[in-house]
Amino acid sequence: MVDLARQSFTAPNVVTPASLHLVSGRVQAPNSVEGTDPVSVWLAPDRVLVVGWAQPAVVAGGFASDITDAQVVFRLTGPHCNDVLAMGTSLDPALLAPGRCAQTLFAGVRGLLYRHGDAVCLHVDRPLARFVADWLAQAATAFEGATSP
Amino acid sequence: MRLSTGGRIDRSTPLAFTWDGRAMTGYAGDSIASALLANGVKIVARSFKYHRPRGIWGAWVDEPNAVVDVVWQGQHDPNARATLVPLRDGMAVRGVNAFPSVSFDLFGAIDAFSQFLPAGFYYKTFKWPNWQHYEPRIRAMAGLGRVGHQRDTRAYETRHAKCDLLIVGGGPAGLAALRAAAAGGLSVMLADDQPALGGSLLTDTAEIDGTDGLAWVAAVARQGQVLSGTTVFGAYDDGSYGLLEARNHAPAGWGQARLWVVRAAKVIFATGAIERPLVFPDNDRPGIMSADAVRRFLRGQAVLPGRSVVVATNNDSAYATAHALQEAGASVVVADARAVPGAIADGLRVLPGTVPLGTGGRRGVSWVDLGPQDGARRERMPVDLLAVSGGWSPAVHLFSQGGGALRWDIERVAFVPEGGATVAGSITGATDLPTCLAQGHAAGLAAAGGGDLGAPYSPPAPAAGAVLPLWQIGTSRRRQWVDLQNDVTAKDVGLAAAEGYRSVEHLKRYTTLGMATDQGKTSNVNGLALLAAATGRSIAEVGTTKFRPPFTPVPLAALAGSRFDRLVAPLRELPVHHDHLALGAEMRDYGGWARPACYQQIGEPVAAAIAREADNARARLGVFDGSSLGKIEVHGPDAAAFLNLIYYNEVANLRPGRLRYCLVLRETGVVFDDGVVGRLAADRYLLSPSSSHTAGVLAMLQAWHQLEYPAMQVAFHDVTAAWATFAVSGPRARALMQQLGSSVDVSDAGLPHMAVADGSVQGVTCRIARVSFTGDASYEISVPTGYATALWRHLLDLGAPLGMMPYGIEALSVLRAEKGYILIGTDTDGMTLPVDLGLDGPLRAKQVDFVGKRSLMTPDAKRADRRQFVGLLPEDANAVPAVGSHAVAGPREARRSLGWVTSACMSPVLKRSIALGMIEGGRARLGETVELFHLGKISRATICAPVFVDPAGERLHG
Amino acid sequence: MLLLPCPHCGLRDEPEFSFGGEPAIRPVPASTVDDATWADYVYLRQNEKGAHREIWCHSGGCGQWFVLTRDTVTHAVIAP
Repeated sequence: MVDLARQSFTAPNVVTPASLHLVSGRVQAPNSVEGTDPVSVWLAPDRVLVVGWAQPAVVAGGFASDITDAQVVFRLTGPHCNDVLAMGTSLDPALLAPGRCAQTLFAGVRGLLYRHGDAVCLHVDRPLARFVADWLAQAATAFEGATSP
Repeated sequence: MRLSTGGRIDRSTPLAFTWDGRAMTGYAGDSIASALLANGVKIVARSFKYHRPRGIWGAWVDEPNAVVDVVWQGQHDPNARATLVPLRDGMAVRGVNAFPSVSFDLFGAIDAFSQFLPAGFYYKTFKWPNWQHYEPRIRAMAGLGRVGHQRDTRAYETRHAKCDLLIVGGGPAGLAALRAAAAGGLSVMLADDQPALGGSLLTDTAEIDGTDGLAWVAAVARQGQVLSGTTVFGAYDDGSYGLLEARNHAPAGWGQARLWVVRAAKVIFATGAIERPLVFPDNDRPGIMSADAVRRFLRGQAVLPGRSVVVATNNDSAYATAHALQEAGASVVVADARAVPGAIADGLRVLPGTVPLGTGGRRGVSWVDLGPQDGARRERMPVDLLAVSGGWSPAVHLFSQGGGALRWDIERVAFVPEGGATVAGSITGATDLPTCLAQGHAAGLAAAGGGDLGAPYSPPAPAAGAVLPLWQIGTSRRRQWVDLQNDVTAKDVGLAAAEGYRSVEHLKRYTTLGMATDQGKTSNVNGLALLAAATGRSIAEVGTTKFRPPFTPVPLAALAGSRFDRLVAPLRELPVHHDHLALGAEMRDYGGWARPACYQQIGEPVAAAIAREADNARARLGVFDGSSLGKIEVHGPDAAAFLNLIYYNEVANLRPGRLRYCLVLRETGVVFDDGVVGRLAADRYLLSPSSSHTAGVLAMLQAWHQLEYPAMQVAFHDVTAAWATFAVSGPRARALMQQLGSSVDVSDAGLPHMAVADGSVQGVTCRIARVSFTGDASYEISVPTGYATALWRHLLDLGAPLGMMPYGIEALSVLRAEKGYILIGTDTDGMTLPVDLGLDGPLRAKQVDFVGKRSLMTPDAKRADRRQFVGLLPEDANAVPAVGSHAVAGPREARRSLGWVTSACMSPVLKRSIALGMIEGGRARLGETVELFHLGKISRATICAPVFVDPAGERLHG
Repeated sequence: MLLLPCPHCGLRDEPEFSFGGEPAIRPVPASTVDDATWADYVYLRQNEKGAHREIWCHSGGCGQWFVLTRDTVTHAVIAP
């Protein structure tokens, strides 16, 4: 018997929620974020993403798909967080007010953005996580030892 | 020469540079142009066509001549504009378009033949026997810098920003607008393209609100987000703007420019105006400069470009230069075309009613003939500098890009903005500081919706004198230059008009006037005024050419940003990407995914690897990473009915636990994708579109649901990335699956071909589908992506004693070709219907109106001579025909294509070449021999059924 | 770069959207439609200069399809 181990994607600034579920049939205000753990993030008129942070969310009934391993979550913090967002997306930063979320293009790929505590969470599809991680690593060097604009 | 005091240069920091190999010195605060002038360099360039010696005309973006090659700290710019580049220590600057140098250019001899090389000569001459004989040599003699071959490996930053108000221009008008708008509480961005803020206040001292002009500038600049050294190069839709910010201290690895994409709710254009040259005989010699530029070099870098100066003008503005030159110790004579110059002439020697009639001095102007316009008298004056002002053209480029209209102002002799976005300053034709300040203030106030802040105060300026329209001075056998960079003369404009190119857009394209790197900033208005005269129309009737971005050249690297090399395009990685690399896989881009083409063993050629993998999978056991194949879960009470309206095949009667190979069509009936549809429950399906079409199929499902069938209760979840899928295939596949020990019964009866079951393996959720793309018994095991690496390695461990080898996309392509399984986009194209593939059964059986159904009932869809999917056995069993080879019929002079080869490879099982193709009426031609044509060579092949191995499909059962 | 109004997400930049063309009424059932009518539906659109009805998808955002009317000369969105 062999134990099949589970691996998550690793890179700087990656956090791994306990669970992610696509749930259809739930109505929520457009581009809203509800709850703290689990968090329900709006994706479409009839669909939300349920994020279980500390422990897996229990999603009862309806049409739910477990996509815990399908996304990678980057946590953007620090003094240059807003600059990195301005580099990666044309999304109006005002749309990321507390309790709000936005699906948009980040570094050219589809991403989901929302504020979580003092950070901004960025969800991307796992196959593109390497690309996004490389992009973020490149972006970080823009702030190393910069003496002036 | 350089004056010993004055200028905004740092004399304590000498900078060493070279010009065409000669060592020279400049200072921090110099541009390359001012440093060259300070060192007495006259000839900085050779003109594009005639290789005439040219000098510096302007001080900024208006410069048409000084394109130079600059190397500094390993970075190379082959086409830098010398007036825009700040001088740096260690710069190596060279002239371009000359051999051996701009100072002594052998190609200068071309000028002697200029009468044979007017505008558009290449439409009339050098035609026999073939223009292509001459073109390479002509191109070699006309050009700009030489591109280097070293890559620029730096990334360039891109920033997005939003603001209430974008102000373009940081001169007095723009800054007054910033002051008023910021006071009104708006978020304001101001961009100015000069290294230092202030515009005209940098050149001429002024008093504003009781303080020195530049002190006022500094105070105002603190009230908003100000970007210096930043060119707004384009105005685009809905208030979006492209800006290019020059960066002097970018971190290592980052380029010296930053691209801003700004979305502004409102804009104010305070972009100023550009001085026009006068058009007179031999007006292109080095040492003939814009009067305004002379004053900017004098005040900015303490450069005195000449000591014996004639200032030729048709308006008041040049007098400021005349006074400044005289104060600096030059001897100055003003030739004013107007009969009555104004009071500003006090203290100067002025010749009224006088224009330049000609100049001399090939390597630098040495004399100018002055006299009345009719040339009745000529007085020759020795000069080493001729400062010229022909009037001012408002810089309306961005305003016009943003949709604003222009009006020809007869009094100002200029095109000025009319309507459209808000403008302020000399872009409106204003010539004095108080007016510019007042306009800027009013514009800023209006943008803020009002306010009671008072306008900035500056002492009143004397009334401006008239501008004399002066488009061409006399006629002469000596050429009069209009576009300096592209060598277009006044005579060329006349030629264009005479040949019928009367539209200003045709003038531009026929003569290339305005098409050089300066985009006609100093030549457009002169050119169209000459066209007006030549065609008997007013200037207003002729109009301007259309203004398009960018205002100044933008490096492609700045637009690319950091998106190059590995970041150029998002490439999806498989969950076990690194395991593939460790196995020696050659990864290639297949439909946006990095997938293993094959797994080369050490020293093994690619073709041998592919053959080995395919042979092993057919004979023993192979494992394939199919994780990129799409997985879309479809759920709802109407799921079955909805999918039946989308798919070509019947899917509503699919039983839970069963799979079916299905096509998706476009409304044209053309096959869009193939894939497997699985039914998991009465109200739940799992769709497996091809890797490259997953997003397209999902978009199609959502579009049809939202737009055509919104009442149907069905939802779609793309779970492609949530699962990793590995296919094991071959005679030993079932044995491996049994050793894997999942909870699923994998016997032939327990899991028949085209069945799917959920279960677990080692406690991990899994799904096992029995479906084959190789033609052998094949099982696809899917587990949540987190377990991918563990399962892949476990499978390799279990499979090793069974002779298992991983196989890549290329081997799979061979295996499926042996079975005649199609690849969408390879064997099918934009015209392939299901009937062409031999799959017309579902059309007859299915009643509902699925997508594309009606298109399959048209006469064209029923033609007997449609191209049909068949197999081809090449006569030469060792030769693989090229994909795309046409099957041809008919005699050599009248060959007709019957279709083409779509796939071809060596078959490991048959040990010979096989091919698939689409051939006219192919199914009725089985057994016929057909000729294949490719790159001039003919080969032959026999048409057969599109299956080469195991036609009965017995190997599927394993 | 156009600014387009997604009915759910508000104004967003053009690169977030995919263009779906001019909508047309689908003639059904297919069996009652003659060849010419079907060909018109599949291939022909009015393509009026000026106000133009269009379907767009917020593919880089919420993935929803919507209809709007846009002026093909000025590019301005007229409705919804």
